[in-house]
Amino acid sequence: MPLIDVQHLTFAYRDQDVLSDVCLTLQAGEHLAILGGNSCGKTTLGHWLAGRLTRALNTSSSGTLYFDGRPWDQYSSIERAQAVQFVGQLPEQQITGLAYSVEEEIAFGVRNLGLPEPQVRQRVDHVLQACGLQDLAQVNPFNLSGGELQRLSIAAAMAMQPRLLILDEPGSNLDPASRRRLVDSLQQLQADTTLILLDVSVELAVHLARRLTVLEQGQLYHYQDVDALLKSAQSRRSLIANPAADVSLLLRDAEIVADDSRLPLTADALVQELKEASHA
Amino acid sequence: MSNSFLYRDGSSALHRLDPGIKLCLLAWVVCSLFVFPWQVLLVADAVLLAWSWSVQLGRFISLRLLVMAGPFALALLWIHGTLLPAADRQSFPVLSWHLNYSPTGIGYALVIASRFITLLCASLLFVVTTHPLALLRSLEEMGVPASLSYLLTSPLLLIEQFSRRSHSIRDSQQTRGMNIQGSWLTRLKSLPSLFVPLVTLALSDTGERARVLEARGFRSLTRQRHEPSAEARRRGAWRKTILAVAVLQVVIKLCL
Repeated sequence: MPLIDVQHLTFAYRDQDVLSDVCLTLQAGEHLAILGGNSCGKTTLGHWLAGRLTRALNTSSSGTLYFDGRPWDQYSSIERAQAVQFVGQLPEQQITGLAYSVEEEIAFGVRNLGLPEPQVRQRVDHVLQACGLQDLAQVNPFNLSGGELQRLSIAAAMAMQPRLLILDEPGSNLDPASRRRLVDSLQQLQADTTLILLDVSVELAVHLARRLTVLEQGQLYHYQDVDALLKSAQSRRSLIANPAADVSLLLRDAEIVADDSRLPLTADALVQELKEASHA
Repeated sequence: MSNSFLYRDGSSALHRLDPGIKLCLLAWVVCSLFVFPWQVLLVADAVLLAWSWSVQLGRFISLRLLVMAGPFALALLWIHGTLLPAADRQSFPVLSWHLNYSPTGIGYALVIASRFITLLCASLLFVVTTHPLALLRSLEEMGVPASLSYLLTSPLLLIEQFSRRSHSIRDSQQTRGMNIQGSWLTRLKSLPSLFVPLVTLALSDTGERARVLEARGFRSLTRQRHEPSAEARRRGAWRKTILAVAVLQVVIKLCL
C-alpha cells in the first residue's frame, strides 16, 4: 500500500483554480521534489499532503487523498503529529512560541509524544548536531536570524521523526554553507522517512530527491531523473536558474556536445564536458 | 532557560518553587488584599522588595513598580486627599502656602494604593521568576485543558515577539517616509498605521501558530496518561492547602 495516494485531486480557492486533476502515489522512504514557479500551487499541494486542508471550507471539488490507506480527517491530532511534519516558508511562523531556548523548542514536540526523557534528550542532541545548532542551543528562538530560524524549524520537525517530512522552500533563507549542511542532515534521515521537497529551483532537489515532478498550471508533470527534468521545455521555462546547466543546454541544442551524457550542473563539470567534447 | 521580556533566569527559592503553587500563592495574596490593613500590605511590599534585591531582581522589579504604580498612587493621594469634598478637611502649612487635605481621603487612597502595589509586586515576582513553559506544564499537571493553559500563558510567551514585530513595522514605515516623531499629535496620527498592521499580522500568525502547535502534538493525550508521581501529589496537596487558607481568611473576614 502506498504511503500517499492522491487520485484526481482538484482544488480551487473560491474561483481561482489551484490544483487540477492531480494524481500522485508515494511509497514509504521515497524522496520526491515538487518543483514550480511562484504561486503555482506547491504550498497548497503541500498543505493537502500534510492534511492541513481537511476542514469543511477547504474541501476539494473532486478527488481523494489517502495517507497509509486512510483520509487525513480520520487521524487524531497525535497520530498526525507522528505521521507528518510540514515546515513552511516563513520560519518565524514555524516556532511554537512556547520555548525560550532553541533546545526547548526542539524538545517541546518530542515531549508531547510522551517519550521518556533520555530519548527526548537523544533526539534533541541528534538534530542539534545534524542542523548545526549546537552553539545556539541556549539562545532564545526570537533572537535568531532568518536562516537560523529556518534551521531550527527543520530541526524541530526532524526531531519528531515523522513518517512524512514536507519542506516548503527549505533553502530560501540559508547561506551556501547552511544549504550544504541541510542536504547532509536530510540525507541522514531514516531510510523509511518519506521526504517531499517543494521548491522553486532544482538546486536542493538534485541532491535530495530521487523522483522529480513539476507543478504547472495546477497539473503535475513527472520526470524520471534530473536530466529528463532539465531537458524538458516545461521546466526550462520556469526552473533553470543554473548558468552551467543553461549553457550546457544551449550547447546540446546546437549539437556541439552530445545529448547522451549527464547534464553538468556546475561550472567545473561544464568545463570537463567541453574538454571531453574538444578531445572527441 | 534564558531571560526574556519579563522572565529573569535564576535559582532563587521562588524560581525553584512549582509554578502552580506560586499561582495559588498569588491567589492567596489577592484574597489577602481585602483582609489585611494597608500598613500590613505596605510592610509586606517592603519585605518582598528587599527579598527581590537580595536575589538580583530588585532593580528590575523596583523600576517597573515605580513606573506602573507610582503615577497611580500619586494620583489617588492627590484626588482623594485634596480634591474630593470631605467633612474633615485640615490645613497644613507648606512654605507660604496652605495645603488643604482630608485625612479620611488620604487613608482611603492609601488603602487602594497599597492593594494595587501589593498586587503588582506579587504579580511581577510571579512573572519574573516563572518560566511560561514551566507554568504551562504545571497547569497541565493541575488538569487544566491544554488549549486553556495556552490561552493563559501565551500573553507571557508572545509579548516579546509582539514587541519586536511592532518595532519592525515602525522601522519599515519610517524608512518609507512616515513621520512618527515630533509632537504628540504627529505621533497620535501615526498610531493607526502602526496598530492596524500589527493586529492583522498577529491574527495571521495565530492561525499558523495553531497549526504548528497541532503538528507538534500540543493537544496530545499522551502527556496526561502518566500516573501522578509522589512529588506531583505533594505539590497538589500544597496547592489545595494554600487555596483553602485563602478562602478561609476571606470567610473569617466576612463573618467578623
